[in-house]
Amino acid sequence: MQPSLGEKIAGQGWGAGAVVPYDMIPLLEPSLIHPGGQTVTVSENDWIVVVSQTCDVVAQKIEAEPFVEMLHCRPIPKLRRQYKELRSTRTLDFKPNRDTHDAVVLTAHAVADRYLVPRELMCDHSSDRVRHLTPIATTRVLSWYALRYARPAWPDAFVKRIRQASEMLEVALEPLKDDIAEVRISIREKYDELQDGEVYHVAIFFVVDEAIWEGDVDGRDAIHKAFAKFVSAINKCGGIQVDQALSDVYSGAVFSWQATRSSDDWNFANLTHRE
Amino acid sequence: MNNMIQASRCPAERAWLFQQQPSSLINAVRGRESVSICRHPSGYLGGGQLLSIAQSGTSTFQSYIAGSAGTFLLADPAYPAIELAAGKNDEISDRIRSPGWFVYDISMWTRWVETTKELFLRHRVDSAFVPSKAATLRVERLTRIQAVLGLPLQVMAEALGVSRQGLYKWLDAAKDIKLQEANQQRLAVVERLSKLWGERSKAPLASVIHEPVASGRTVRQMLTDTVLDEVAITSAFDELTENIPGKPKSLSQRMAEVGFKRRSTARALPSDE
Repeated sequence: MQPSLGEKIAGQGWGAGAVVPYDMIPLLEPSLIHPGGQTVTVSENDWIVVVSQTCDVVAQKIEAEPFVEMLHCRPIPKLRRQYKELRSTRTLDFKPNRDTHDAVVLTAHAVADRYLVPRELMCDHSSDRVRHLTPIATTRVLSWYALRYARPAWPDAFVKRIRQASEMLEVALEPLKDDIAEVRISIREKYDELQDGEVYHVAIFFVVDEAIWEGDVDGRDAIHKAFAKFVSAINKCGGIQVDQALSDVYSGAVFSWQATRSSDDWNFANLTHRE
Repeated sequence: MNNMIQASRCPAERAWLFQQQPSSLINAVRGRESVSICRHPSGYLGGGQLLSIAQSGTSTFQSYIAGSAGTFLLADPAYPAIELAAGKNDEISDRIRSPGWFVYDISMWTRWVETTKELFLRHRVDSAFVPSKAATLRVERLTRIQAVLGLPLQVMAEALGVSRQGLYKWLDAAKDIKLQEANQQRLAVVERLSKLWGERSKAPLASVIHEPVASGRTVRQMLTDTVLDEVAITSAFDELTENIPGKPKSLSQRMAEVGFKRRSTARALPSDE
């Protein structure tokens, strides 16, 4: 029995995080085009990375998924603070594979460097056997795209005020990197561009993983300290008032679905759309 | 600063720049590194230090350090925007390989003013936040109590005998507050109680605070008494500690027990550094 299209593609090693070998680039050239017809120049050190989900890349029928999304990533000397670890929804700096290419740092623009390539091209060519993203790097890139499209659009005037304290806020949230708590913010005037002199009213919620809440005093200590610092930093931003009656640290078992829907996940990428 | 601002071109709404100390602006922007590309505006209104000039065909590219706005590559207006955006020319793209490479239609000057203003305001916030040792210690004591007891801020404020607003001020390390003697004593008692609870359980006191003990009162009520009865509260702790294992499990606890665990978020990804 003949293998299906999806099976052929899977057999060639394609999936999310796979890299196009350099000798295959000429095949892709008709697809690597900027608006206006300019062909993209790909150098040997660039990485063309598959950013479609693996299940889409290996879909059985061509009509189900005619194209594969690819990201043109270019090497840069080092990670830049404002673009690493999903801090910008436009540009991502990341390490593709610390095991095989520890010194390599790549950068890409979410839209300007993304291309659609016909999926059938992958049937007869294998992915790069030397270069590929690690599962962590792949997750990072896919999470970046998810964040870009799922992040809430906050008013420019609000972002401008928050950005005054963005570094202090980053420092405050440093202890939460292990995913022990989620920071959520509710903005009463979330659709309004307020003028100078008008105040945004916000409620801030630190939602704690239930296991931490119930059994890890040191974890809770770190979270409460982070909350105090975070609120202090927000208070320094002119034109933003923290609702003291609602803002608090909550157990994940208590913070309800309803409250989640009335608040936004805090993310520094939410502050980048003015860049 | 004189070579960075051309006063005659400065509209009134941006005049605030001239009201700032030049040294303040320089401190604010120092160390900020960003690179952007602009098509050369009709007249370059910013200033900055010319770094290099590159020739590509008939077009000229000039690289400037423009203060807070970082390094800018200015392209000749005759150069097609699309080629600039595509970074087609190797000579250009070598220079601008890494940065966010958009073609901005706004003038250099506008961007320079906006960026400088934002960085200046941010710097002012940053430099205002230097907590004293006493304030840091105060906040650490309070957050440790919160961590052990897990009380909502309102209850915590009542236990400490202050308003919720007052507690927020205590929790702000940027505020140098001298606690009154009575406040200090109350804080010391609550701190002692939190340690006693912490010795008995890792779970927060909040989970049992509304349960009545033998005396018929709840710890929530006891904590808001004018004078805290440490003996009675400690005794209540002993009673409550025995009740904790018998508390019904939450839905997520029951899910976790049979293997349904929450998905990690992107935040949990290890750092690239």
